[in-house]
Amino acid sequence: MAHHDDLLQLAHESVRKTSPNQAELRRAVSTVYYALFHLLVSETTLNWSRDTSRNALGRMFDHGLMKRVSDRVADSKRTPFTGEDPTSVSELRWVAEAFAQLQERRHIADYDNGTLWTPLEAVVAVARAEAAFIVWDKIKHTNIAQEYLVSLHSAPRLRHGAFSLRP
Amino acid sequence: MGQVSDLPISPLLGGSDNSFVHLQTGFINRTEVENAVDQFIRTLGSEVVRVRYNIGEDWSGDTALYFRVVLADSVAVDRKTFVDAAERVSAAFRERLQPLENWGLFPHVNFRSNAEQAELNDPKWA
Repeated sequence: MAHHDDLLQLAHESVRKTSPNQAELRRAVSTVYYALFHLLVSETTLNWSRDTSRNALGRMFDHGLMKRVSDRVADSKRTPFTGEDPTSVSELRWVAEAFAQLQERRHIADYDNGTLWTPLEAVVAVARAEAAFIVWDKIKHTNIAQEYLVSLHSAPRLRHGAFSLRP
Repeated sequence: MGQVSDLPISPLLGGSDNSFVHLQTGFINRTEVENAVDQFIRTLGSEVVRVRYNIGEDWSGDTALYFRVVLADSVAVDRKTFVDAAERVSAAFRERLQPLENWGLFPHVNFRSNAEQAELNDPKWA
């Protein structure tokens, strides 16, 4: 079982407890974000043929860039995906939106002690990540999903293609 | 019906009803956003008890819409029913309100049950 699967399972078990406390709820919300983060990092680095370099490559991902790319992919106006399969496009947008939402939830869970969490809020976050794993598995071999992975790793210098990142 | 600005908003984002919200890509009219959101909320089904929202900044400083949706206890009978209801409502925000496409505002939609909110009595969700 890969690292991201373990993280997802850990979060799932945390929210299945009868009466999870605030620390457990926060931990679960934070953990599901990292499950999805590491899934996408792992999927990207798998494309690197020299496997001994994959961990080093994986450490170069930037959460902020990944958020900006995901925001853009979720936005049908900025990223229309003209001519692509509508189902795959819709599913990729869903994954991108889930990533950006979970990342924001993770920041609140980790840093904002003024926000209280309920069990069902955490359940929704975990379910969203679980669904993202399933959807990603369906679309991961499509060109648009692979382009998304490349964009998560590095911002293009030139404005061309689907994922240019000019502010 | 939503209550806007029940959380502190940065002075950079303006405060009056007719203020403009500054985005990286330009300006949007706060009143226009609020009117559209309020109108949209009225179309949500009976499983939605209440929606509160505000315009704020995410962790990276980007302007975003934060929705706090209280769902009826009838959909909180088990986790799957609640998650399914939350996904239906999330899809409505994404597909019918389209805040990203219309205003460049990412929607963060969070859910609690009515019973959970009653127990916490959290003013941000009341």
